[in-house]
Amino acid sequence: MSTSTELATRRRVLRGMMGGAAVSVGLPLLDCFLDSTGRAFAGGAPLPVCFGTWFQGLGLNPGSWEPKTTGAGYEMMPHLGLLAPLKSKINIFSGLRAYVSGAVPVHVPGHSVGLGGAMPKPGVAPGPSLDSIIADTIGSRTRFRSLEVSCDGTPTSYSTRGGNARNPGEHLPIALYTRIFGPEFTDPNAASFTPDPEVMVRKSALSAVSDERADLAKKLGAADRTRLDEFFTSLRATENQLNLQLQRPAPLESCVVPRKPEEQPTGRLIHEALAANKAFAALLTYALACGQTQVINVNFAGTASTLRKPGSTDVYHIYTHEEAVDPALGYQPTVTWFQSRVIEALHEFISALDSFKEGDGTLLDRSLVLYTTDHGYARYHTAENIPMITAGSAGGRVKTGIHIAAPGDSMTRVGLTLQQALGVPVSSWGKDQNATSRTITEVLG
Amino acid sequence: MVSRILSARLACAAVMAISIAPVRPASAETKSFVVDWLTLAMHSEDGDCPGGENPGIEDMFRGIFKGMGYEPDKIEELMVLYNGGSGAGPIPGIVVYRGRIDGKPVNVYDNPTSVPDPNIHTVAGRYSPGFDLDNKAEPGSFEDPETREKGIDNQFYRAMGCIHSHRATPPHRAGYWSYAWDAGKSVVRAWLITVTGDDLSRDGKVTVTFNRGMSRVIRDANSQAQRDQTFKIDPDPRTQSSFRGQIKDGVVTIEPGELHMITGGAYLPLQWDMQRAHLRLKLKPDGSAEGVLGGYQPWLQLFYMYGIGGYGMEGMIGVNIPGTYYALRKLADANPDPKTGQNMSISAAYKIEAVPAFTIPPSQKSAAAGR
Amino acid sequence: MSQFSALVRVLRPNRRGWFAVLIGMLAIFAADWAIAAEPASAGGRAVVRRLSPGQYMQIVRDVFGGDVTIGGRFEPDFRAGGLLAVGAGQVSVTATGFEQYYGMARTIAGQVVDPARRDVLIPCKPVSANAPDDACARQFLARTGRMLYRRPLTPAELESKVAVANEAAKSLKSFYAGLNVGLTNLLVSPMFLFRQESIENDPDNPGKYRLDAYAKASRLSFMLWNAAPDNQLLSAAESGELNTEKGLARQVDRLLKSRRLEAGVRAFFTDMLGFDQFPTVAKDAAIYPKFIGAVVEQAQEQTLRTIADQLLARKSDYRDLFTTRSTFLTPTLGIIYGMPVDADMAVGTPDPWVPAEVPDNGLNAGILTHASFVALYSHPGRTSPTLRGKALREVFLCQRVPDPPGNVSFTVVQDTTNPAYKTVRERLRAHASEAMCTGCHKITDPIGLALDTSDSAAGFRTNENGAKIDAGGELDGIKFANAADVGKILHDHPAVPSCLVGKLYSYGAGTVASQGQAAYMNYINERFRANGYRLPDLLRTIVTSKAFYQVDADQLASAAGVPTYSNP
Repeated sequence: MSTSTELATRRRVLRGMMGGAAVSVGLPLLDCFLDSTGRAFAGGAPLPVCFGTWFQGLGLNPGSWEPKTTGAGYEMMPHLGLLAPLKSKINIFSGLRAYVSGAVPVHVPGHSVGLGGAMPKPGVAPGPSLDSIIADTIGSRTRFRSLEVSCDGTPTSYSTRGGNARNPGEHLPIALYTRIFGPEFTDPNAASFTPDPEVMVRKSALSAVSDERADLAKKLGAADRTRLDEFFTSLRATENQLNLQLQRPAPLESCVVPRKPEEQPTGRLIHEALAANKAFAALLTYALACGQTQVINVNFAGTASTLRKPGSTDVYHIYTHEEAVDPALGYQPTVTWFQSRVIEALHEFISALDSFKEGDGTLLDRSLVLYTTDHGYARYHTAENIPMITAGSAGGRVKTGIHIAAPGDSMTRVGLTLQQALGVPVSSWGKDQNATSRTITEVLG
Repeated sequence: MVSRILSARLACAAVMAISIAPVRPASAETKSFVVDWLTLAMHSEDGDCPGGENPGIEDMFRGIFKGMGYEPDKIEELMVLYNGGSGAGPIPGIVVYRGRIDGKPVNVYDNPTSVPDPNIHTVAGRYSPGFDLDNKAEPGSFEDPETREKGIDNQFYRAMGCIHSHRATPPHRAGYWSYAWDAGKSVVRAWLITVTGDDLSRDGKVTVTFNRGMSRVIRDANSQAQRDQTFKIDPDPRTQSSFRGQIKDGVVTIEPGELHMITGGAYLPLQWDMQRAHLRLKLKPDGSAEGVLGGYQPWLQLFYMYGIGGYGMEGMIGVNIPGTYYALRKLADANPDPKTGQNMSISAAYKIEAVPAFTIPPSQKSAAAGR
Repeated sequence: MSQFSALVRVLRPNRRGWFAVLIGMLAIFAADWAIAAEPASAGGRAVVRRLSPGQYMQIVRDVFGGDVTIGGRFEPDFRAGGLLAVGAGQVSVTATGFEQYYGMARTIAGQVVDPARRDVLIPCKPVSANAPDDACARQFLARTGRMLYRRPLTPAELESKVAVANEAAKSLKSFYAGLNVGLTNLLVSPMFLFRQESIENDPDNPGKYRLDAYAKASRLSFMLWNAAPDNQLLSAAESGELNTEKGLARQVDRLLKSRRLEAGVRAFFTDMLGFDQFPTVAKDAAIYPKFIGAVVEQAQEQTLRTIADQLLARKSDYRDLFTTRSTFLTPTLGIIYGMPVDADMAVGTPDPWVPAEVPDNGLNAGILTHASFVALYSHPGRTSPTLRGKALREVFLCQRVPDPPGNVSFTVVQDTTNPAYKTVRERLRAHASEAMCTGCHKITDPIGLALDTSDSAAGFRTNENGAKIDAGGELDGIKFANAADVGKILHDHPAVPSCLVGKLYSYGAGTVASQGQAAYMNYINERFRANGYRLPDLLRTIVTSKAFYQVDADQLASAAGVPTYSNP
């Protein structure tokens, strides 16, 4: 192909781009748009988004937690009453299940499918868990890729980077304190900053695409030209995001080093777990506020929870099997008592994030915490109707105050939706019957 | 032939699918069901266990250690270990190998008589759903709370009904059994019941068959078995039983006979070989069916269901396995061994809840797949 | 030809006879010509269309292989003129949308340059893996760019991409990292993300315009395969073959014969039937426990399988879709419809599909009574004859039904427990007696009510709240007694085939046909009728017609850069 033909071809391509009225006025540079894209670029870089999981085995009694109405403006059920004041920041997902594909569905469905996307298969290593996938997108430049804690005195955690090894959960608050705020801690606002060379390259490359704009615009009619301008405005927004990554991050004005926690007994007694949860909530809040990590995982107590009531002979899990349903109440009383303590702990944790003020908002506002559990109805150890609850909007990326009922759908829909909301480039998630490409569009901002 | 429940809301559903011939004998009506729940029939009440309920797991373990001769200090040391970590420590080893044969430790689940009978507490209450299998209203037998029939034989319930994890009062389903059945439902092939008669809306003779489906139940949006699922029938004769019976006032009963089924999987008995099987199945206006199945079963088949559970069955469900072995053996009430006189079968009754289904006889292809 | 042989047999030709045969043949050709001649048309528009998610994914699979993970979330499409394909010509890309495209581009480019794939996808090896290699980069970017842009890159475009790759390779000290950045740029270029139609002077119609050969190849390929032109088609555009009648016919034949035609037909009907609305379909579990997540996917697949089987495999009359009782079911769909399904299910495998015949009981009206229609156009807890009637008229008859005014009270219709109004017909009668509502409800409700024997979750029923459902009514002057009758009426309704023709044209051309194209549309309709309403024939008629590629000069008159020279 000769050069002259190529040029002719190019002219032909460009000239044909559209029919419509000519607009010969050059458009202004689009910098003025940058503040109006909905992401607060105006005052510099936005505070980073955070993600967390909060797990507790043994589910919730069916009928006790699912709001009676779906969509926005649902009423919080009495069993979740403590969470009611935070309702506008909370989404509830009901009816979701884990497809167990012929496996006996005991104590694995919730975290395997809800947090891992697939039921375990002999000889097949699990893929990375939801928090790890998200950490790779949002938290790759923080000091800790993620932080795991466990409140039941064991190193239990359901976070994995793939394979059967799990990131161990720290079970002593004081040890967590030392790990984060010990001698290796440096004030994030004082630390030096080196821009990532790859980001620099990508930013400059993307600018090269912008160069196509002028050539294109010449040949477009008014309507299509407006569309083209919108496209390049959008491109500039991404370019700006890259640009922000090249600048020193926004100062974490709320970051202070917290007080060292008291030594406290840890173990499987319920009050010990509640105390550990409270201590961890405080420490993790500061860890997030100080930019030490953007991803946290809390195990309140693992599947088949072995938490105990002082003085009782059996652990929580045993009660789910052993305890008879009280005919008058219609539920297992001790099991339900444990569930109420779990809600208490979840409330404690979410409230800690929400009471931490940052500018006009709270730490919870730029975070998203996902609660889930191993089973739906613990008495039967069902893999159906497994509760999933989120708190926080991840900086407006997720709409909140909504109840989504998706009976019979796999839990992976929530995982997929959260990944997409937090910017993970993924269009489907999960394996076998738990594979889904259906996001929950109702909550995507 | 395709059979289905003719739901009242859709009498015109003379439906067919390609490759299924729409044979519906003009004179006969057929309703098929898939069993959504099959649970031990029981009726727990306060005070029905004269010795009290059997101890919870930790107390059971304490009792076991005491029986093995551990000193109180050592027992508490073990219990601290049990409560401190993941529930394991040395305890499983001690518990599993607590049997003694010639002074040597043996696995107690394989050798339930290697420990003395712990004499687990059993039920002495008044009520139990079920049937009078031996036509003797002998003292100590139960009364059916619904039919008020006396002489009800349900010794299986008597054996298990004072274990905390099993206890339930209707309408609640038996504790452990509902857990086991629900877990099994995801794993094992479905139980099917088909009722055929001239006109099932009137009193008359019927035929009742029990079959196994080639597939499992699909669950609906509320986790219950879907209505109107199609099941191919398993050609394995060990899963097929047929009874003559009658329908009266919408309730199907059968002439006592033998019922065979293979469940195979999860926590349920692997094999069911029921003699003098009785059935009382109410066909409900909404198309579903509910009732009671009873008969004599080899008590060893029932013991195996628990024995296979091993340490988990003791440590999580609170079932003392050798205790269960002794209780079933003592309470067995039929089929005496000609040599020893020991009864080899035990009376049992189960609550059945079923929803309408389609059934298709096995094709050659699926017959091959079924083996 | 059969007419010809018949003529030959009748005439037993001798010398004079042959002459008569000749005359006869001419007469036949002339009669055929009367139908076959394509009338002059004003032409359509050249349109800038955003790729649909399906098209984007298909192109990536075609260019980089089926195992490449795409990732990312596409922003919602926009419906105009009843089609997303028309809306695609009116949307741009939002900031979030671009962020997603950028993420996807990086994900894809990362996989292409990955050591596991690079040897297959990159046609050359760099002199050094740690430094730029413009020759190799140029080779790869030119080849890949041609497939992505659906035309060869201009020299300036190519050199700009090569320069980007060069700079990146230098900074990152890796040829492949540089290529990754260059490819990412191709994948976020508006030239890739938007289908842009170039025009040229039409040599057959001096003073008029037509799409250039590459734009023509794209229209053809996206219409028939929902994919970008393949190498053969691009070559045919390049060589000029596509601008000859024979050459076009050869390519059309090839595309129509390909198995990929099914993907194209599925994409069209997915758009026309509004399946993009399915992600938000949910049913109240207390009322419709049978409706589980799997139904949402399978309902769409049932209808698409039925359409592919009827229209492509069996080459049936399009109108039979409204009366056919042949379909495909899974065990789960069997549950929904209350029908037995003779399928072998295996643990852990997807639900099997089996062919099935639905019963002849008056309740079935072809695809209108599929879950993909009746469940889609219903509320979570009850049916909606109004939504169904509105959808039926808009989707299949191309009639526009106005939206309800904003200040209407729906209390009466929503309360399904009111003993005074047991059936939805009674509730609607009470509601629509309000004067402002009557007009529209008269248009929508009668046909919608005929479908009320399908509940909101697509289960068949004959009564509601214990009262028998009266499915009778009247559609455009013809009385019917039940859903099956409505299917038959639609089968013979003149608007049904012409609506399909209109939508198919708009789908391919990206705009609704203009007044100036009326004669042309009549011609397509006439050909469709003459061909027995067979879809493949209709597709052929459209994509081989001149007007499909002509561009209306009036719409260009005021545009900047009107070409003043002819095609090189």
